[in-house]
This record gives sequence, C-alpha cells and structure tokens, in this order.
Amino acid sequence: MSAEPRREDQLLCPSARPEQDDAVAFAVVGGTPEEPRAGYLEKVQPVTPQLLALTRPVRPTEVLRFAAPCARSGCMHYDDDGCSLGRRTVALVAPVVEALPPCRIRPSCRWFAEQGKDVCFRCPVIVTDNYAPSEAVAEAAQPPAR
Amino acid sequence: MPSTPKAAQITVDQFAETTFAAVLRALQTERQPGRLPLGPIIYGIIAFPEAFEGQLRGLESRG
Repeated sequence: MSAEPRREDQLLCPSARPEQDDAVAFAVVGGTPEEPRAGYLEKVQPVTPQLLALTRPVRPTEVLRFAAPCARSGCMHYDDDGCSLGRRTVALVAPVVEALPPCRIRPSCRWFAEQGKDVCFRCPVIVTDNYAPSEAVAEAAQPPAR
Repeated sequence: MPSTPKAAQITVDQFAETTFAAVLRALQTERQPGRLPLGPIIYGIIAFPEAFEGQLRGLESRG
C-alpha cells in the first residue's frame, strides 16, 4: 500500500468489511469487552481465507479492522460533506489515546483526510461489529435520517 | 472512557497471538440472542447486506 496521499475518490474506509474488493486488515481489536482498543499492524494484511479463519468462531469484523475503498454513495454514512460517521465519531466519542496511532492506512484514510488527527485519537475504540458499544459509539454510529 | 498515551503497534510475529487474544475478548462480549450488534455494524446493512446472511430480520424491530 502506497504511503502517498490518495485522491479523494481513492480514499479508504477505516471500518470496511472484508468482503469488499481490495480490503486489507490494518488493526486488531484487543482491550476488554468494555473497553476495546485497536492495535495497529506494522504491515497491513491482505484478506485471505486463512486470515479470516483466524477469527473463528467470531466474525472477522469483531476482531479485526479492515480498510477498503470508500463505497461513497453506496454507504448510508456518506453525504455531501463526505463520511458522516467519521464526523460524528469526532463530535461524540471521547479521545482514547494521546498520540497518533501507528496506523499504516492514514495517508489514504477518508476519516483522517476529512477530520484530521482528531479522529485518529478516537479510532482505537471503533469495532466494526460491536455487540457492546458505549453509548457514545452507538450514537455516533447512527446514520442521519434520509 | 479512559485515555491511554498511545495505541499499540503489532508486528507480523505478534499478529496471530494478538488476534487469538482479540477473539477471546470478543467471546467475552455479552450477546443477546437474535440481536444484531449495534454500533458501526450498520455500515454493512445497506451497502453489503450479504455480510449478514440470515440475520437481517432483527433490523426490522429497530427504530
């Protein structure tokens, strides 16, 4: 994955699904059920059957964070101003780290491109499929009414 | 939610072990039968419903 900043139409979603084309795993969600915390991979991993098998019996998206090209208007969170989820995350979720995470997708991340480092300070708390989100995370995840 | 100085970095050598620990963390998370996880899961509902084969019925009861 290139370290060069990407064009707007090439930005990556940092909470994508492994089924998406060109998805890569970039973080592992550790921590505790009450306080999940992503740790960031030194090297992103391509999605393979072997990788997905590592997370059984839970969904890969409960354990790993995937990045994939932003679906833009195909996603309910995308609006005229970009990703509303990244925007709400900054507005509603408290920072959980005080330094930028060592994240390999940052140069291509839509959230970072639109929200800057403020969203990076909150990113470790995001679990794509979260059975026990905090109130703030659950509220941030609610898409705007259409 | 407490803040910590920095997020962890995971080397290739640590990946499998860290993922195993993460699976244990996920298994400890309380689940209610028949209920989909809340939070950013709803990314997938519109754009990628195939990711939730057989599980979309629960959404109908969500406000």
